[in-house]
Amino acid sequence: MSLRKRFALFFFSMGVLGALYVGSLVDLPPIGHGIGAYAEMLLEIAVPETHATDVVAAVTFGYRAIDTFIEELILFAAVVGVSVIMRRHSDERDATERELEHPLMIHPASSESDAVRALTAALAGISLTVGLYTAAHGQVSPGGGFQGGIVLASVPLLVYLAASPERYLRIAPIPLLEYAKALGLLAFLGIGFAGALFGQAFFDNVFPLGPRPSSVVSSGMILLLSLATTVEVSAGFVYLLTSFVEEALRQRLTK
Amino acid sequence: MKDPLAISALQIGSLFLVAFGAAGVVSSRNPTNQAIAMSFYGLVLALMFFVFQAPDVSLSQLVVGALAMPLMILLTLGKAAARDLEKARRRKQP
Repeated sequence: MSLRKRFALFFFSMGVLGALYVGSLVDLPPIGHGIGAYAEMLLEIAVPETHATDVVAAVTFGYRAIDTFIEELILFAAVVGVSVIMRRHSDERDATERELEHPLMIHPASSESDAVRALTAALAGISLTVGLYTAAHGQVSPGGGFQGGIVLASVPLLVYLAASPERYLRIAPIPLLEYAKALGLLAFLGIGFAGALFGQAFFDNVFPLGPRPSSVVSSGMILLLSLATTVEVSAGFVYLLTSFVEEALRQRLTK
Repeated sequence: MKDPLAISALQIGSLFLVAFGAAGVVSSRNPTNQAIAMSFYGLVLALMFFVFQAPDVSLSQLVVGALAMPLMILLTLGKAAARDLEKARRRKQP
């Protein structure tokens, strides 16, 4: 196909797409208007019913906790899939890896730049605090287990940049990550079953709602599910990063 | 009286930033540059969600779009490059 024909095709399809797009915009409500009936209802009932002042968290970990559970399952399956493909398993270990496990092995720091090391060392503590805060305050303000979990997962990576892959593997040992990501998912499921056993339905909020809305220890199941998500997401993400860090270690040892 | 729900200059500005950011990601051809551009685009997108009053979505977008995804791409590129180097070295010393 010649360039000219291609351009003709491009402009023709852009014209049709553009017309359809503009046509679809005509009937939209103006920006900021047109709140759905479901949103109106939640804004009325969510805070008195769940004591969670962040209505988004009340939906994701409360009314639609089952959806969040399925998302957790997707993440879990993805992490397991990546680890099966990327990580070398015990029967595939070579001499360098056995050498690596030796306790007397001492390696230099991973980053050559002092500026990078100073900056990442300073950021590690801040990220830890921000991650824990975001994870624990999801029910009162924007945030929650997912966002906090990823911020927390970045902390071992900062340590890796500031110190060495060995230090990374010491603060985030692989068995701990494996247990934590399974336990996070099991805790989520267990909280759901608690609703089925002591309440009316799976993921029924049967836990004490706390003294008042906007208190950090409030909203029952929503806080607990958020914390379970934190464990699951942070462990899963660090586990993904570990497969790359192991590779870096192996390369340094074979140098 | 001005409608409090009307679109503000900040919102229009953030939409333009998103458009420019997206163009920047598409027009960078080198995968490493593209990952960095995508991280910036994720940041701009998070800003847009924030000025459109969706702070929860904004935080999720920040950690996934500006942190997790570019990081995964960069690490994968690094791993692929290291593998190529190793292959080349093996070819040199049979």
